Amino acid sequence: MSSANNHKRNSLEDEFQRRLFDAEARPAPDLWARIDHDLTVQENKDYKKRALFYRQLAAACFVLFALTGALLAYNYSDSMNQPGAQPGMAALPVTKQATAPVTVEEAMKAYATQQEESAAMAYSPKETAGTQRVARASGMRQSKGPVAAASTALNDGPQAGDYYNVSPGYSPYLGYTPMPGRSRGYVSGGFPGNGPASTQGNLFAPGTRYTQIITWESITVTFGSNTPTTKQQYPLGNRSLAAKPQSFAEMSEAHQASRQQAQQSSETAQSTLAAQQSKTVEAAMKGDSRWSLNLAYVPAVFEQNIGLPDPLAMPSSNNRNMFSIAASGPSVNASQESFQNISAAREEFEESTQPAYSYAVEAKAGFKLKEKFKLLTGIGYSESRSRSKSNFIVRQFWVKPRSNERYELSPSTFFVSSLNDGFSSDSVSVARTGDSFNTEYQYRHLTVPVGLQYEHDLSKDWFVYAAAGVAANFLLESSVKTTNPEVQSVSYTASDNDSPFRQVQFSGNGSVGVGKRISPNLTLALGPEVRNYFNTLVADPDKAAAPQGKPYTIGMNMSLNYQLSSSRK
Amino acid sequence: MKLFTKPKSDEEKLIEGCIAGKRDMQRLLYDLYSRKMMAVCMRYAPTSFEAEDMMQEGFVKVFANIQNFKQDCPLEFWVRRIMINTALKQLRQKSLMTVSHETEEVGNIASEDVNLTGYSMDELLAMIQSLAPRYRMVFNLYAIEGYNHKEIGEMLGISEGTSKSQYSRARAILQGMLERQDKTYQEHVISQ
Repeated sequence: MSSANNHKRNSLEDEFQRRLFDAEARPAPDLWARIDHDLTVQENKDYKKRALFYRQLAAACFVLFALTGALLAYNYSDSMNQPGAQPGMAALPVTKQATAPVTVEEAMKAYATQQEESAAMAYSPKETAGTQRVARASGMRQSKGPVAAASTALNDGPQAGDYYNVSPGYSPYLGYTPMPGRSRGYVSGGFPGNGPASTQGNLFAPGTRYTQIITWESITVTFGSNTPTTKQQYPLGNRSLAAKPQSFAEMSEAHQASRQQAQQSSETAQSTLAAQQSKTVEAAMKGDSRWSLNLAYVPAVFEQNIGLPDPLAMPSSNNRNMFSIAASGPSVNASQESFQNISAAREEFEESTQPAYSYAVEAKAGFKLKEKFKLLTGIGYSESRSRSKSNFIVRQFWVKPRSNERYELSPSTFFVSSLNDGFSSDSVSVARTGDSFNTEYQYRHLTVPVGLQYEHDLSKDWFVYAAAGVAANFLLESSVKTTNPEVQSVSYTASDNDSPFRQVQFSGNGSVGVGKRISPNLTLALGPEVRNYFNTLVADPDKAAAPQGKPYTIGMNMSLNYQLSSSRK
Repeated sequence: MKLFTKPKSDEEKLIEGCIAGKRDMQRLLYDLYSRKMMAVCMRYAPTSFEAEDMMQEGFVKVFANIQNFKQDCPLEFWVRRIMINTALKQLRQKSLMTVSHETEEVGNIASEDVNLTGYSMDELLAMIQSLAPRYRMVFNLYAIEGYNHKEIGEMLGISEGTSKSQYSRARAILQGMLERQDKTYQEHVISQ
């Protein structure tokens, strides 16, 4: 019999299942701590991933912002460099004469081409004898000069609501249409046709229907009911498009004069405005003093650059204040366990410590040294934060000399304990807590910055800047706060003599970015800033058990600068 | 509109707490199932150290994926299944489970009544742990967990026939061990 067929459950399977299915075994006592540690590490990884995502998002936003700013600046500088254009003023559209046909032949040719192109359109006017008569009757010159390209008789000509085609950039009645791409006009109302009046050369004879031509300039030319008795004269310079010309030629001349007048007045206005603006800028420049006020806000991330001690670098067991050996500590195995916990705590601290939100605000006075250099100094305040997650605490014990009785001090974080080598207790152990807790490190400084700023104009409104400076930072308060109520939070003020932190700290900073002139006196600047401290946070790093580095911040400088006006006007 | 909402059971509260990442709830779940799961892992692992590693990884997976638990079966079964999958993965990673397609014949296995009352749990676990990894796996899955050979074949990536063949070998080995143990015990009793 094949074993493959022998798969019936019998007493052996049942017996094993009965004995082992619900069996229980005791896991190792530290198994939960290992799982807890894994979970903490995993949470930190998730947090790091999220933090990385937000940092990349912020970087992408910044790059986008910088690119947009640069593009805008480039665009503005281009428009300023155009001939005839005034700074900060968009160039007015120039009347385009060149594209308009200048002779009848050209106009007719253009018209014919347009006709062919628009064969599919609803209406294609053809030049008829009537049209030619109308043209002759209206006194149009047949040689040089802008003329109508098309005009049709009433019978087969355009009716109210019809479209007609003209050459690009040219309107048969107004001479020029400013949008060459669009070559269709709209005829509303009636159109002088083959009636007796038109054939006799009087296009605007009484009784002739009104004609309205709406062009793309939104100018409506209305020929009202013409009365020959009026004989009204229209003085030059007072010609209105709504006036009633006696003939087509008069109408054309009136329109030409009107256009010239409009162009002249536009040019005059443009030059006047430019002159006024340059005077304003000059006045502003002359009126400004060399002094300015500057307010800056720098949100940043802070890296305190402090590690935890390596267990191998800890004091030896011969030392009474030994760290890893809890000779009379909580348990017999405390020594080995504590040693392992130091390694685990160190690893955990490295993995979980994150720069947290920090910021600095500064109020500075600026003095212009040269055309582009400015010296800035003032006063500021900074708050630098960092945080970590931990599963470990430091337990310290004292032995009373007379009674030899041992008592425990309040547990503290490993970080605080390792800031100096003064583990003055009789025995110390690093213990693992049941639940992980958060620790926040905070340093508040009063700062006195001095810096030099260089500005280079990209355009009238935009500029780039580069700034560098130093600052003296006076420690107001440093604190290490934990979320675990059992673990001692510490806080040192400026007057605390037992504070391990440096009371006065010097730092250097550099920033580059772009700026925008909001008004002649007010500018806004934005750019990344790096601030590096020249010394460690801890006053005496040689005495600290933990490795100490120089802290730094990376942030975004946002500053508002107000140029003070001169007192002498 | 629901007028009455069913009060949440302790298990539901426990699951919600674990999903929220509350460490005390996770600890509670661990305390609830750690002993049983330790026994499960010890059946699949060759040593208690490896069983602990298995269980550690298994519980981290449980907490990482507990939001996917559909509550269509008791939580214990779901946790147990994760432990078994972790065991399978670890054994696969350590190349202890070579995929083979054995169809060799084994002799008839006596279906006489077996009584394990006289054996302690440690002795039974030791017998199972002494099996070759692939036999141990198939024996655990079939005899104790109650999977059929088709399911075991799918889980281990082997054919149903191979699963049956390996199970028969494992069973024969265990039966031999039991017989030897009985014989030794009887000789010991007679000599006394």
